Amino acid sequence: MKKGAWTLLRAMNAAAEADLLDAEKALGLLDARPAPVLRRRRILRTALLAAVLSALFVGTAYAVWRIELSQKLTPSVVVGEIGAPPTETAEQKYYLAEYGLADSPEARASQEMWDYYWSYTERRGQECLDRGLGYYDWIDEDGDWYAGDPELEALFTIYSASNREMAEKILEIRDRYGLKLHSRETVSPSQEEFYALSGVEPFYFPPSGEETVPCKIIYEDGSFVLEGGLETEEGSSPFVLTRNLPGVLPAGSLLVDYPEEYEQWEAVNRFGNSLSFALRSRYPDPGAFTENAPEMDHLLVFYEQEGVSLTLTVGPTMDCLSRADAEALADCFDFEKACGK
Amino acid sequence: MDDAGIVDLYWQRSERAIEETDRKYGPYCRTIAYNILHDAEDTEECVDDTWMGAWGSMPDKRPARLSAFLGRITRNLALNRIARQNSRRRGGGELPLALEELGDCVPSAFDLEEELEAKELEEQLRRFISQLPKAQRRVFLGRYYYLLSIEELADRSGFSQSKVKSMLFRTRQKLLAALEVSA
Repeated sequence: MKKGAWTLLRAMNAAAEADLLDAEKALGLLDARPAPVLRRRRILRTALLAAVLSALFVGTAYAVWRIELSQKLTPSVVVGEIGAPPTETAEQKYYLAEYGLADSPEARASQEMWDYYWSYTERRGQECLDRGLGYYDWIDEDGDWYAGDPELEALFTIYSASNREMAEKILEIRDRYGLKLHSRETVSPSQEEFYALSGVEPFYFPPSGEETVPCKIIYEDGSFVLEGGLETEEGSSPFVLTRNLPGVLPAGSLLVDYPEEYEQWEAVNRFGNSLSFALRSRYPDPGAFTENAPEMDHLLVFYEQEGVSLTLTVGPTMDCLSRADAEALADCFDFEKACGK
Repeated sequence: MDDAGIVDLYWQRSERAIEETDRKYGPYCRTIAYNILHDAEDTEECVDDTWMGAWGSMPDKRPARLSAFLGRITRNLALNRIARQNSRRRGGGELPLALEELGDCVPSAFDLEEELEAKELEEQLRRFISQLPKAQRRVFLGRYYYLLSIEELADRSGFSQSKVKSMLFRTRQKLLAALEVSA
């Protein structure tokens, strides 16, 4: 054994937590999730705080909502589980527009890009399997094809282009819709970097009093992805908040199925933000779903202001989510400030 | 039970914390320990030590994600245990192979311990790993952090074994180049 190898092996212990979590998930190193258990989640840490926030949460309206889920959805090429052979009963999946409504150039371009991505990867993966290779062996992951070209490198790291052919297709989509691409992403930025790039004031006010904004990725234009866990008395409620700005092809993709299962309403949170909610929930009756629908609760909260789109999501999760949970979670964010006003 | 619930049990000094941790993360930590130690008895002891380590560090710490926190403790303890054992007992599993491969990354005539402070090396490795393309990073960590065999890594990543070997080779070359710059 060469001297130094042991030192290197030990020093690997310093790998970033985010990278370890990503690897253990991608490589399936963790156990399967525990069986679903119905339990009433309490988002708020104390009853007193719950009462205060409930009193602040006013203005529920049922007749009209500003953003209907159907306005944000377009059918995708994905039917059933990704990577699994389609069956007769497999459900149609829909893209959720991360920016604007489904007919915005950003959403249409994103839909086209992801349709291409899923169709292309399935075809190339199948070709590899037919030749006795690994499903992902077609991926040119070594970087030779983008070396020295920052635009191509951004397509690889940010937009999941795995070779020049995919990169050229994304560039063609970008040009056709007159959009820009993200050019740089910073993973797990410091708080200083986060505020400097996003240009926002503090907007995250969880009951715990935690002041750190749990930013996972921030892009050069101030678009971001937050991934946090809101501590509750019975656990934590993982959420994702995305902020997307106009004129840029969103990098992410969120698939939704069984849109008819979602209850929708509009409400104003304690910061006075008018929010549109869509919730697929079993609470309080876990048998409330149709027999085809997966028993997974899913919350979507939309807020748009002056061309900036925010989407707050929880799940799909085995935990039961209620309307009160949804509204209490939404009370942790000043969406207007997160938009940058 | 989710992570925050388990952490709460540690903070309450409830012995159920160990039970719940073992139920949820026992197989994960055993995999990490076994891939290093390659011995069932040592693995069990190492995992027990991990739970004791977690018990000792909470309260004070409140890790948001237990898997990475516990995995790191397990890996550290297993490597400490291996370091204490004589070389005759280090013959099994993926460890000797991984060490042999990592030897490729050490620049010639370069004494890592002398040239770089431990913290400096850790920081450099941390940055190097974070900057790798996603697929390479996962495969690299799978091999040298989790010490998975090439066969298992291919199975879990969806790449063929030859592809995994080629990815690892190229990543080691990159690491060698990065360390040579430091040298």
